Amino acid sequence: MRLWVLTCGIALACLAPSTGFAQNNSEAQLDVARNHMERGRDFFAQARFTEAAQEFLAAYEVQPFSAFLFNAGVAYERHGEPARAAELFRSYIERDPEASDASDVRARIERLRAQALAAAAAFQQANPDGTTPPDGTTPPDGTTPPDGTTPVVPTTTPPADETPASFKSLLYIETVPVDAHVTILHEGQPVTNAPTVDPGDYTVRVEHPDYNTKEVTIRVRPNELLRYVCDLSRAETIGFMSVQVNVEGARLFIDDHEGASNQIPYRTPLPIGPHHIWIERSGYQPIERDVTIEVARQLELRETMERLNNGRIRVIGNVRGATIYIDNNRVGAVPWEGDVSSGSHNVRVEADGMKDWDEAVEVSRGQLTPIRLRMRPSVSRGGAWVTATFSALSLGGAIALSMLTDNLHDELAAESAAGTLASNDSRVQRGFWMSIGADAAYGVAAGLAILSIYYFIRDPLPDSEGTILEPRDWALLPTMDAHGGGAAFRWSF
Amino acid sequence: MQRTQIGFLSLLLVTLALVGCDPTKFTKIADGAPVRVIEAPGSARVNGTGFGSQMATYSSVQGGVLVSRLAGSGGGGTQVSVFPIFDGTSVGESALFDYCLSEADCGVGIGASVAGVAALADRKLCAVSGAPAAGQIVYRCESGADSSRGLRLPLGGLPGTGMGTAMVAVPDGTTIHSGSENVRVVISAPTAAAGQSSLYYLRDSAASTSLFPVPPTFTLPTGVAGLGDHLAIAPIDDARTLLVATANAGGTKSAVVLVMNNSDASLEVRACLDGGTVARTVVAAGDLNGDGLPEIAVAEDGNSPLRTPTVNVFDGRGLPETAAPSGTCPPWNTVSTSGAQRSTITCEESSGISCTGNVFGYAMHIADVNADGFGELMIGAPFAAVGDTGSAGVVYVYPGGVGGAGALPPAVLKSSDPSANGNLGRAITTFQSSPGRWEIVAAETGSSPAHLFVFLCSGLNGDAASSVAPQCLLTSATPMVDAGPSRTDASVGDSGS
Repeated sequence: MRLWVLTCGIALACLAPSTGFAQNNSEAQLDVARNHMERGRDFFAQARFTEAAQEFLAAYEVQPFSAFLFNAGVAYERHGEPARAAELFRSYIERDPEASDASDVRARIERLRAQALAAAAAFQQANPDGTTPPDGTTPPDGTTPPDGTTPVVPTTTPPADETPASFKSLLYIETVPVDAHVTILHEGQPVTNAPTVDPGDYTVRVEHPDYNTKEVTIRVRPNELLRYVCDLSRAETIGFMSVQVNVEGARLFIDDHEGASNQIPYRTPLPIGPHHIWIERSGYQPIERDVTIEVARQLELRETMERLNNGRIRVIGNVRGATIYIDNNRVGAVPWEGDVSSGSHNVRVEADGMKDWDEAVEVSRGQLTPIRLRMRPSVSRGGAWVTATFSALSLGGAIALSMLTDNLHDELAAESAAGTLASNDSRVQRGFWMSIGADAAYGVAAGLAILSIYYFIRDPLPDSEGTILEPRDWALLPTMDAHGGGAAFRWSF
Repeated sequence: MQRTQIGFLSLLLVTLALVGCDPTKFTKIADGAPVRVIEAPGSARVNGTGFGSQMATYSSVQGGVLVSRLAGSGGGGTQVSVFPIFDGTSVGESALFDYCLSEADCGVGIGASVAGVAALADRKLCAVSGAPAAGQIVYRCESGADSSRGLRLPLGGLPGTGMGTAMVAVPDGTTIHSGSENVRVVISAPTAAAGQSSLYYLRDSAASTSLFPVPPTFTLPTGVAGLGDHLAIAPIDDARTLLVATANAGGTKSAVVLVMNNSDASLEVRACLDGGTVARTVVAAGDLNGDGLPEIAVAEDGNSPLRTPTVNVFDGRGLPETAAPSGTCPPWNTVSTSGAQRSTITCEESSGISCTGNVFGYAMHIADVNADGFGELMIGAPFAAVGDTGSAGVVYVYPGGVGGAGALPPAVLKSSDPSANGNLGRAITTFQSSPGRWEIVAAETGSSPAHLFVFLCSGLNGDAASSVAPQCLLTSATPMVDAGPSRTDASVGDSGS
């Protein structure tokens, strides 16, 4: 590819090897120059003319285009430094002697020099002690007005539109193939000093014997750096889009969500027209946008990604297949990873013969909280159950015996009330011993119950341990192996 | 889960603490049982001794409180045990003392009969027992001379007379000790030979106690022999006592009715009672209809389980007004101004108790057990089956009234835990628990050990238990000393009154 800036057959040097659009150095320089240019425009709009001029000159340092010199001259002129302004206009003419406005610029130079001489004379009159006038107010070529004379200032008046609207702009055209012929017309006339152009509408025609001619109209605004890439083989008109987000690792999908993604930060030429983009990153809410790419212009997108409302929990441990409950809901078995809402959750892991692990886990938004378990064997409760069973049996016997005892007592009480109960009635002794037997059974039940409680409580073995690691981002990584491609989560501890 | 288990077991412990049984509730209900049961003491516990077949009670007022004693034995050749049967508030169930089973000076065969007296000369609360085989009596008192051992009278005995076969205590109208009426113990000698006295009495003689034959003016009616296998008494008035003695009158006379002059023990024959052809006649005497005259109950053939047992009750108004001519024995007036003077009580089946072979009338006693002013007739049926328990025995209590006993259905007293062959009701007596009220004591001689059942509630009107007051004892609001001297009430032999 070659960068064409044609004005009457002038071709600019090729900025990069012909490897598609991968002219990173040139593009980067253009971006730097564009940034300086835009900042200069902003300073100018804020009446910070000196800073604006410095930005234009900085852009010139990166990309030595005459438009930057012109714009810097305008800024100094507005700042009241006619000498510096004149010098920059002079450099502009030297750099671009065939500029369409060359005569006007020369007249402007003369006017500025006269203003500078007048200003110097006025300063000398005001400062007879030989104090040097402020920098930039004297002509750079060292001419000074004769003593006692006041230079005559040309009557030519400055342009009425000495505003940012009068700034020069830059229009780059790149073609594929590189030997295509480019014609730039402005108001029907060929443009001679490209890439420096004045604001306005330009018709760009790209011709090549082997391809259909491509013609587009580009509106140039003041102080603008446009880059038009014309790929005749694709029959497309290309614009540019730049995407930046606040997090690293985000991926960009353009027009095809199922297709290949692009890494962000992203900057690429795109066919002009509407496009749909997806910006995604694991752990963050995806962003969708409809954008429109304009010819020769770069669309700048700066997006802020928000973390997802949910997070993930990953559980690994020494007992494979242990059952995992989150908030008392069974979710799976070790090892396991899954989505959960952010916030605090109760995580319980159970396995036969092992002590449960139960812990509250704080899940961060859009982050993975790993849990590493070391489950310990649980104490056998067989003895406790046996004693509890015998305790229950004893209790049942005691209750049954108590009921029989109560019934017998009621029977005896009824006979006593009837006046027939004998004090030696054998049922009295039987009831007495049944009561003692019931109490003994209650006592046995109580003793066994206490023993059972002890067995249930007694636990000489350590508890299961779990380590809740620091939450971390997770990433969906593209994978490729001999069996095919895909995506997989990868993690490590 | 572990929390659940611990919670359950904790609940179990709390439950245990709340529902534990109190074994003392059974001892309490036994302590409050309306039927007090006294076990045969000491050697009388041996199976077959038949403790309780002879019983007598006697009372004395001590410190304003009526105390009663019960003397009992298992018949001839068994020890005599004395119980503090009532101390004014409760029944005493432990024997005070026993005597004469191993003491050298006790006669052979002691225990064949018992009687009790409140006072004998300077001795108080004495239990007297007969040893007819030796023709002697032995007594032991709680105070006075020789209170630590039994005394035997007469020295050498009256062999062959059967003296001591039966005995009753008859007040003699004197009082030696305050609150205790002096008594005269009338003792039968049914096998006395001709010319020998068939009745003796024991009483104090100023400073000592002696055995006396009845006055020689008393002669048996012609044809009457074997007087006194059983004796029964009942007061006629303050000076006279009705004495009924069974007799062998050639198969026609069952008992001889005598009137004793309390002051000198003189006797006169008034009548002879029909008793049918009996081998063993049981008598009881007491006022059943409240007219002040004692009725006489005679159980016919009471010892035979083969015949329908009946009890004849002779109205006291049939007692002849005058003594029979010497040697004669007129029949009980069967026709008087008040009509028929004899009624018959026959055993009637009741729920769960059969009359068949129950020997209805084996023992009888008359006393006012519900303090209504009328004596009740208690009839033992020691061979009655109670439910499935054979020969457990019961006691029928026929309430007295204006119409006499037998007009109303009886209350049936039995053990709440009957013993097979226990023979409850083989002997019956009463002791006084408050003025005008007596409590029933019935012997269960066949159980092992034998028992004495004290029925504090007869079940009759005015003497029924309740859940509030299972024991029907009346506490005496008025000191007994103010109610006059108490009378010794002794039963005699297998029957009694």
